[in-house]
Amino acid sequence: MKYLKIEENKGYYLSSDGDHKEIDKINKEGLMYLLNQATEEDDFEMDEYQEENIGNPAHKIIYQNIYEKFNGLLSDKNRFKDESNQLYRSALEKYSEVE
Amino acid sequence: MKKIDLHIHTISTISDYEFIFSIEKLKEYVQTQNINAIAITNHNIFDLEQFREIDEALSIDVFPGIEINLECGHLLLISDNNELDAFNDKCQQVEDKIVTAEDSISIGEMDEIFHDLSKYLLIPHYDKKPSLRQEKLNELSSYINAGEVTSIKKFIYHTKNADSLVPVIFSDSRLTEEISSFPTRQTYIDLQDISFAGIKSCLNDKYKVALSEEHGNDFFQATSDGLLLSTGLNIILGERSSGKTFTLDKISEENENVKYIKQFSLLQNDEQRFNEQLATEESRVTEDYLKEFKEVVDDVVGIDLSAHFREMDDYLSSLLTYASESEKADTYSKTALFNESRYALKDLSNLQKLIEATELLLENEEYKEIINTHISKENLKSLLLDLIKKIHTEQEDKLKQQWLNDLIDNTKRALQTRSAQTIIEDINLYQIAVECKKIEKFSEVVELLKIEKNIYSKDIGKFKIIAKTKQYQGAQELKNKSGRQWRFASAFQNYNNPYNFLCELKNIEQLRKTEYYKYFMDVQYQILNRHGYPVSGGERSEFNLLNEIKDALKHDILLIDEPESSFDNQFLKSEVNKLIKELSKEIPIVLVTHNNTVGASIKPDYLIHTKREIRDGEVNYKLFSGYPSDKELKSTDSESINNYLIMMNCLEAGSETYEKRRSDIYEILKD
Repeated sequence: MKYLKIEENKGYYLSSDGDHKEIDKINKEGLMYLLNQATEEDDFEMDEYQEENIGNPAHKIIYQNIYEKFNGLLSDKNRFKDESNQLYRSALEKYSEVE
Repeated sequence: MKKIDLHIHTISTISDYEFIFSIEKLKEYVQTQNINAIAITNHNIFDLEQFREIDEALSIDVFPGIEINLECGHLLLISDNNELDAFNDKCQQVEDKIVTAEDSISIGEMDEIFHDLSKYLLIPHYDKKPSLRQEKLNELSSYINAGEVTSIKKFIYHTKNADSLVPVIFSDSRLTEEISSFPTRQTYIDLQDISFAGIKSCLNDKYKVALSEEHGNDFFQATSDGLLLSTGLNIILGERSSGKTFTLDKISEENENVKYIKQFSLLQNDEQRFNEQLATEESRVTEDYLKEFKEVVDDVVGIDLSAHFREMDDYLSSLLTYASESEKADTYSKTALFNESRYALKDLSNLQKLIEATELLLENEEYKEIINTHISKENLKSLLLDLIKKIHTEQEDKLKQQWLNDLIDNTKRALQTRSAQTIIEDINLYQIAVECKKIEKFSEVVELLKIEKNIYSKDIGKFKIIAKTKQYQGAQELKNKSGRQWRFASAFQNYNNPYNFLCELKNIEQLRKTEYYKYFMDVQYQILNRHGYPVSGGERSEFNLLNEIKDALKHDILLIDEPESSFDNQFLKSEVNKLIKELSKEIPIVLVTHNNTVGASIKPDYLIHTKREIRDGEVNYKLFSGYPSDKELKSTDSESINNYLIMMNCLEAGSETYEKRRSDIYEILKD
């Protein structure tokens, strides 16, 4: 699934309602949705940022910045998975026990 | 029989509390307690001058001695009194070696100082702290025959145990002017005339040491005024205000490690208080169960999700503003570092755990065969090596990134102060993602924890203690948990959303952070009877008794004041009597009663009758004692009292009432 994409010289992000919206309309809920998806979904895809593909200067800046942030996060995804699996493991195991 | 006390302190040393020795009190002690020989045994010191003074003041045999800190235990070394100067010189050498309370000398050093140890009487702390370890006792076995114990119970135990040393019990006293009663811990030895050699020979033979002058180990002196009690079960009878409780209090004061079950203390009508008391006693169970949860809460409590939302907001709005202001771009803001992000530093704890796990596999001896069947030692070694290399590289990178972060921060600050353009706020998405995950997992843990279940059960006699988890049902229950008047209404509204609930708890200022975990669910304790139902008031008292009796075995003497105040006759006869009788085989018991079910049916080993006398306007409590089968009970001044009358008066409200009750009620009912 494409969460960040570039089309017709503009940057878009996928919002929680399933529509792609222009990148300059993104708010913190939109960002949180992307963050959750980036950590949970295996098919989190983004169009690579290439300056010449976006005409709108504001879109350029916003897309580049968010793209780089998420790119950094995805490169650490394995570490995140490992860390998540370990989180509170002993507590979860202990309290899952039936009497 | 001779009564000896070979452990007396007369000098306050670094190993003692502060005290001022009174020679007058020692004289009084020796006279009133009819002691035939003593030894002066101060900690790592012998004062010849004081010894001579004591020896002259007393008309009995006084032996010189010293209590030595030996190999981390204590040992009494007592000498004959014919070579005092030489003994003094030797003790001086001990004194020189032991400067602080923690110092001690070795067996070799003691041997070197005292040369021929067989000349002395060596008595180690045996069933008494700090005791000499078994291997040290073995080393000294050719010189040691007797060992000091602290209680009647221990004395009897070691007398019966074939492998034990000959037990001796001494006062270990510090006699001062202020002392109100004298110690009762002394040992009788079967000796005609006191001599060092005679004492030594008696302390080689269990049949020659005893707790009492005439009755061997069946009796012991319980109070300084000469009250002799059975080492089994003693019953104290007496009319109201005749000094029964007074006598128990005195025994309690003058003996050590006493378990005293006071009148009415077992009575338990208040169910809530009883359950609370139970929860306090069993609090270790709750703590153990919630240990992991507490760690989770302690971690989650530091997460501020709203702050992360603000960060995101700041980041986005600054990013959008910056983008819209592209025309304002200047020399400074056009630089790449103007909006450069900081490196998110890696947490290397997982890698560290992997290294530790590999080390564990590599070093484990117990299961090495299984481990090596699957992974060779060589592979494990190279895995460990690679992981260590990896962590070194990662640490190096981290240090570099830290250094670069500082550089980026400084450069950005310099550029941004000169530019008119908006700065894009930094954000650490990785950290936010991890913390969101933590909250998600925390909620999972809470959901699991809230499933009500039994977490513990323990059988005590016919009762069962169970602990079960329970969700809180309202703000009032949270308030009860806190034991304070704090307001939990707003917190409870969020009880079903663990993170919001935690945030609300944080708003209650007085609530300690380390206690938050207690408010997510409660652990309740209950006692069930043999049918599996919650216990009644009477059964709660029975449970208390069983619990107390279980605890009594950790003590050296058990005192019980009127158990009938807490139980009905049926339970007294069927359970209490049986339990007390059984227990009296293990420790001396003194029981005060008015109740005929207890007093007459329990078959005690010894009877004590208390009587109040007023002499010259002063109240005196006189004690008569004897075996239950004796026609007469006797006082220490040889006065007698009829046993049958006592039984009738104390247990049956007089013989007339008893006969009347028997003939007018029971016989009629029977017919």
